[in-house]
Amino acid sequence: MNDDREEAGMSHPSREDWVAYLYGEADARDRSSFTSHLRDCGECRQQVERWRATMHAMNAWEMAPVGKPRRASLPRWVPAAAAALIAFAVGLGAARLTAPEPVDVAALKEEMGQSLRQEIGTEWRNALAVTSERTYSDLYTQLRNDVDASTARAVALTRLEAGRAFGEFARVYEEDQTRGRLTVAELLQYVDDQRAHDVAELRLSLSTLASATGQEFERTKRRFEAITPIMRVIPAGALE
Amino acid sequence: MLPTATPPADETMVSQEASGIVRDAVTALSDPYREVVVLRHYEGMKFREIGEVLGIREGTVKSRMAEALTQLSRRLQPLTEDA
Repeated sequence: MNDDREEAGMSHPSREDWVAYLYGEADARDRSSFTSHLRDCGECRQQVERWRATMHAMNAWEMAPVGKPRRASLPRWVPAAAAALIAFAVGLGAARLTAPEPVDVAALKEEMGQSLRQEIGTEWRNALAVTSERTYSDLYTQLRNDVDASTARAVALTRLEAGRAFGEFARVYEEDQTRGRLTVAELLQYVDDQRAHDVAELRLSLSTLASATGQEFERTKRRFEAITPIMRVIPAGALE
Repeated sequence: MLPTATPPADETMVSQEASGIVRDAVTALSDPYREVVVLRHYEGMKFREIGEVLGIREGTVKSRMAEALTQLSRRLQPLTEDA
């Protein structure tokens, strides 16, 4: 094709037109016309090819592929979220793009979603509230079921544990009772033995005392008997 | 069908280097250009949507995108020449 002829007679699509063309936003009629123009215009072809190569190189950064929008057409309330998105975009430039690590698209989308939710209007909040209400209702039902199931399990376990504990208590109690009975019997036996021992000691002591007393009585009696004849021969008043 | 095998280590290194070059190039753009690049190229928003969000005309968005692409073309020349 003759570039001189193009320069002389053709009207070139603007840079804005080519941008729309490259990003698939030109309408069908313009697209056909631009494609045709590219075949004839070396200058535009060079420009477009350079940008296309640049766009391809930009994909080396881990981001969404060109031509595949990751976002559906936004609802009507999007203008209301302009401030949030502007803040997002500026923040993106200030923080995310200067970060040493590649941008985490998922995190960015989440961040954008949070900013949107903070700024959008009543419609979205109401919709969110309904959704939340439903979600909370479901969660509450689920939670209640879980609690019921857990409670039932806890009760069963408690009963089981109580049964085990009672059995253990009964066993220990029985052992204690047996041990107690044994102890009392042993004590009684000890007391009985001790009593018998004491009684024996007492008897021995009493016998000893009685024996000693008897012996002393006999000795005293014999002394008295011995001296009685002597007393008889001594005149009354001789010992005074 | 694209191959799913793990790329060789040297390819991975080249890819990481290219990623860093692109990131630096986008970072070097001034805010108005960087905004439209990120929102259009990486987030996939339409030019019209970006205009609504940023409060500027759609034509201005496209104009900024064209200038951004021109600047990036220079900065990414090492990558585009290799391709």
